[in-house]
Parts: sequence; structure tokens; C-alpha cells
Amino acid sequence: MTPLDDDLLSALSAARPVQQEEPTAASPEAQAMLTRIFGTETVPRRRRRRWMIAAPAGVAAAAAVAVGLVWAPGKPAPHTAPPASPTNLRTAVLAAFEDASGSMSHAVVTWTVPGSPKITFERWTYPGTAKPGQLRRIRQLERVNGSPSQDVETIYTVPGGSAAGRTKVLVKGELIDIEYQTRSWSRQKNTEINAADDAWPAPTTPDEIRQQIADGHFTVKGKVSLEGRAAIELTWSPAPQTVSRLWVDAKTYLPLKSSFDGKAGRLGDEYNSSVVTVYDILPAIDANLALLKPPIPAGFKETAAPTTPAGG
Amino acid sequence: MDAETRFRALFDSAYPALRRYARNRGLAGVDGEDLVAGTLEIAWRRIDDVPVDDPLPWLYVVAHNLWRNQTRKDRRRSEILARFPASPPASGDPADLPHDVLRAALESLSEDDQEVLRLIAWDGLTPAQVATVMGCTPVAARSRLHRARNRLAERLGLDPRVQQAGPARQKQGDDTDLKEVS
Repeated sequence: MTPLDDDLLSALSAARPVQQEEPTAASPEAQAMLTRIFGTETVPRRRRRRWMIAAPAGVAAAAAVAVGLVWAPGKPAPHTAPPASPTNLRTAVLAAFEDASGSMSHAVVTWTVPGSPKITFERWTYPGTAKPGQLRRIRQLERVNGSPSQDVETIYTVPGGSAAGRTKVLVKGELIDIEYQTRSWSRQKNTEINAADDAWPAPTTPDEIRQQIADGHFTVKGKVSLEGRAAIELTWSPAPQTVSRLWVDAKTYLPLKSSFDGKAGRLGDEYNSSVVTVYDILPAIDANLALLKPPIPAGFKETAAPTTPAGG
Repeated sequence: MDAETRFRALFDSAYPALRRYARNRGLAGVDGEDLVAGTLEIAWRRIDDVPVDDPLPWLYVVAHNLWRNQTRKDRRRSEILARFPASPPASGDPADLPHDVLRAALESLSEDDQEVLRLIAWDGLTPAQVATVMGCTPVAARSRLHRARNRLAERLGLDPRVQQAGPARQKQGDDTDLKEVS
């Protein structure tokens, strides 16, 4: 009897992700990879070192589930005339992003799956979009059915190079992790933080949205009224059977709201959910910057490393 | 055989398997390519350490470690997913479960449980090869598989004690038995 004679494992085997096409070592991508690998040298045994890097568990908490981000210009973008074409709109939106890059951004993300608890993420980011070498602070407060479950602040220097489309860009930084389920908190200095953009389940961070806009992979649906504000609606499809929408202010071209709709379904498939992000504008003043620091509730025990919440 | 010739042969045989490994872990496009390239680059640098007879488990160890680092940020998502157990199929037959439900339940397990189940059910490894990948004895690998399988059943609302015979597979041998060993 093999493990796959078991009904459950057999069913799981059948649920394996479908390969688009059978990979082959003769493909151009594979051959290019082989050439690159031969460009590196083999390491003599005596000089070998351990190559694995063990990231602290808190890193995951800090960088995970980054469904949304925030936006906040310090001043209105100096663009007032509606652009006439997608090209002009792209230029205007990118210029507005650039103008607002030094501001603090704030977003409230609501993740909806039928039959599941309501999960929201509130995220503060300063600066809204950071350049390489800049210090970036991000706080993310997660609530389940309205009750806080985790509050994390990460502080790190933005590395060089683009993080777009990557899931791992490890940098050294500081992390404060407050775990409500275990009533504990930890401060980890000089720890590893994943500074990659998290495009799950759809581009929602300013950098990701900016990249989508810059790539031009969007359709202008036109001018609409969004809760009484004049807005321009853009749409694109990050994956089959999914739609992302972004509404930008018709005058400033800054994000007001974004939504992602996958096919109605269950958790597990990252695209089977609905995510709505409402962007807010916060000037980078001391009172707002203070929001980046998560308050440690009275009675919470400090630990050396974050403890894993029950059920994790 | 010189190192380059040997590595070319290894590359030809391992590339498709590693691409499937990446795809089975949700890594496509650049991320999948990064994982395969990272794994094979380490294999090239350490070609003297790569087993000649059965290199795949060794490569999966490297890929597994790289992948875990690459996806640590997804752990938090798994923690959230774990809060929502699925509804069992009315028939009680796992084959009647939608594939996305099975994958969701798998994602809600611990990283180690997910990996042992993926290695067996998706990558087609034997428990002995899984033992090499996970750095444990074959006995421990079978035990881990058994426990992970039961946790998956629980997550799906199935009775973990019920272990029915699935599609007929005639291969025999203790090495591939799913029996709990404690």
C-alpha cells in the first residue's frame, strides 16, 4: 500500500496545481539559466559556509498579509485638468504619486470571504513611497471581527533595486510585534525584515499600484462619483476571473479607493476573495507620525521573540 | 566525468522536477524561476556534495530551505486560514471535495505538515525520500505523514480515523506504508 492509496491523500494529489506546460531543460529560459549558473564559480570545500539564513518568526508577521497600503500627500498634486487619454492619465497619476511620496499614508483594508469572520488591516506607512536609502516605518494593525489580533511596526532602510514582483527582499531592521491572542509583545533589533512588496491578492500598495499604472496595464472606465467625490475609475485584471479597480481623485489623481474581486469562493486560493482598500491622506506631522508606534496594552508580557498565536 | 558534464546531466534531469516543485508551491513566473535557479546554482557550487545515485531529494532539501525563506511572510496568512475549518462533503468521500477546498485546508496547516503532504501527494516522493528532504529518519517521516494527514482530515471536517482505500495502486512494501509508527 502506498500513501496515495489513502483516499484523502489521493484526493489531495488530484488537487495539485495544474502545470501550464511541461517544463523542459531544453527551453530557452532553462538554457539561459544554465549559462548564468556556469558564470558562477564552484566553492572549494574548505571555503564553504552555511548558506541558509534563518529569518526570525516575527518577520513573517511583520511583512505578511500586506493587503493594503496607504496614501497621503503633503500637498495636493498640481494637476487640475482631467487627462484626455490613458497616457496622459498615467503621467498625471505618476506625477501625483511622486508629489506625495514624502507624505504619510494610511489605509483601511477589508478582506471579505463569505462565511468567514471579518478581517481588517489598518496600515500606516511613512513615507508613502520610499526611495532606496530612506528609512521606512510601517505599522499594521490586524483586527478580526473588530478585535485587535496583531499590531506590528517595522523600521528598515529601503534597499536598492526594485522589489516589484518579488516575494523576498530581506533587509536588516527593527520590529515591534504585539500579539493579542497571547497577550505578549517583543522588540527585535537588527532582525531580518522582508521589504518586498506583497502583491497578494492584488496590487494595493502605492508602489504596486504605481507599477501597474506605469506598466499601462489598465483601462480607463471614466469619471464617476465616489461617495460624493469626483473620481476617475481605472480597472485591470491581475489574474483570470479577477478584477481590480482603482479610483483616483479627479483633481489630484491620488488614490481614493481600490478593490479586488476574485470569483466568489473560499479561502485558500488567494484570488478567491474580495478586498477593499480605502486610502486616506495624513500630513506628515508629529501627531500623525506618532500613529506609527503601536501602543503596548497594559499587562502584556514582553518576550524575546514573538509567540505564535493559537491555531497558527 | 568532469564537473561541468556532470552538472549538465543533473540540470537536464532536475530542471523539470524543480519547476514542478516550485509550481506545486504556488511559485510561478519570476519567483518560480528564482527558486529553481537558486537551487541549481547551489548544486553547481557544491557539485561534489550532490549524491550521484539519487540527487533529487538533495535538491529538494535545498529548494525546500530556499522556499521556506522565500515564503515566510505567507505564514501569517496560514494562521488566519487556520481559523476557518471547511465543511465536510456530504458523502464523506474526500474525492468529492472541491480542489480549492483541499488546497485551502492544506494551506491552513503548519509549514511542516504542508510540506510532508506536498512532497508525497504532489511531488511524488516516497517516505524514504521525504525523510532525506526533511532531515529525519524514514520512520519519523512516515509518522509525520500520518499526523499531517490526520490534521488535514480534521481541518476538512473528516474523521481522521477513517482511512479508506483509494484508487488501486498495487505497489507493495513497508517503505511506503502510511501506518502510524510511534
